Amino acid sequence: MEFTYEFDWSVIARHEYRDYLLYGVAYTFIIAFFSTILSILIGIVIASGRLSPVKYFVWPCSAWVGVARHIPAVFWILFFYFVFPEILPDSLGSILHSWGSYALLAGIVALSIDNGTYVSDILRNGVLAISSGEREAAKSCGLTSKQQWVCCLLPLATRIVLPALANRTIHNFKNSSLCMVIGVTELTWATQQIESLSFRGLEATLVATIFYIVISLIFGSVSHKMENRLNSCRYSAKDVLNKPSLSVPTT
Amino acid sequence: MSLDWLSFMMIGGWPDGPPGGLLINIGLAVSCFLMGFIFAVPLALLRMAGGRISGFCATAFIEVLRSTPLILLLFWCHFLLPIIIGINIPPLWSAFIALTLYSSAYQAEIVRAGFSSVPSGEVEAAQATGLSKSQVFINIVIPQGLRRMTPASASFAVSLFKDTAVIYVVGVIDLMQSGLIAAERNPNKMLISYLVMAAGFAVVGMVISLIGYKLENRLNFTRKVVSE
Repeated sequence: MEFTYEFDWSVIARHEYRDYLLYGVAYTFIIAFFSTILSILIGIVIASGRLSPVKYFVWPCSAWVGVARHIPAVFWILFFYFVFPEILPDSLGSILHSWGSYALLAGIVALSIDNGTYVSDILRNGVLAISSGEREAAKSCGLTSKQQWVCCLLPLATRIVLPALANRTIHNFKNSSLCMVIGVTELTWATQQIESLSFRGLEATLVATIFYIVISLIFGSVSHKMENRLNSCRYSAKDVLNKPSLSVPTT
Repeated sequence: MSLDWLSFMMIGGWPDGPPGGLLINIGLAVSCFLMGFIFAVPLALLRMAGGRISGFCATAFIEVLRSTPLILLLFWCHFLLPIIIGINIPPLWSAFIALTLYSSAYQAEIVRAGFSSVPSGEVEAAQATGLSKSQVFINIVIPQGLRRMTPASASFAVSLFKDTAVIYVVGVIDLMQSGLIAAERNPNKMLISYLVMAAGFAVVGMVISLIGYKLENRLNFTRKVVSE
């Protein structure tokens, strides 16, 4: 067992390979960004379904979360890419097949569905974690139901939810690498492409790994700072009372 | 209609030939969970109480593995480790190495959170009764810490099982790969083989969740009895 590999960093600097990596970074950010936004929307819909008083909304959403949280993201990606166009009507399916960016769209939708399940769980737990005391306090101040939510409950829930949501977003960013299985030209795909074209995969993969680590650490520390800040203002009641947005009737 | 494709997706060629399908996923998830736990405890201890250098190394190891995507880790273990060390690794073994590294990093954080969530009052009380540092750790911190980390460990076990779906990219014939093969060989069964894939992951995942839930209840129950 000995180290026999000689690094050749000039390969990555060659413009054709450098372009693979740069496009890869761009696609990784595109996938991560859009799938995170979409998954938060999906999460809000499912969470409000589970929290709604109508029981015909509650059980399908609960059942969906119960099943979908056990299904791997890779499955969703392959499903949306290979199977979904097949179960559509023929004309629509063939349009999707022939569309060049369908892989990208399938990847984004698949990751959103995977992440949305977790996001819905986080949001629901956040709303449930607001103690009934806070709810009743808001009510007894004479706030209407809408005011209760906008002024008191949602800001509190955001504070509870934010750390977990940031964690999920980092996870989703890492999951964007799974899109390479359907040939989306993101960063992990680029490293494999460089490996197969130049046999210099080690350098490319090292660069990609460092990129993922740096982005994850930066995002993690930003979310940590934000969390500390939100928590520090939580305990100064004076700030909360002086907020102009919280116009509590004083009579 | 023969159900060969179904047994191919569930157990591969086992018991006559090499195992495959869902059996590989379950086997890898279980073995990597246990191996990961074995590595996780010393890592967590080093991060919590190690010296400056060893603590930094443990932290760096954990953070690097936690922020690398699993698929990239698999490529490292399958394509790049052989280049570095000059030995070819069969796909199943590289999947095992990657998943063990991955699960040891995640579980180290769970173990650390579990140990540090033991109230300092408990530790101080034990020290006040004259127990030595190691006695305190073995009798007070470990049992309570293990109990506190059960929910997180259970949910990690579920997610590790889910993550074994990725190993098909290095050529392990697991549930995903055998489902893809089955779908390719009989195109009219494509939808059903995808459904079987999803159902396989969902059912086993739910069973793991259920086991975790039962274990959690049971451990909490003993705590209640002790405190009463």
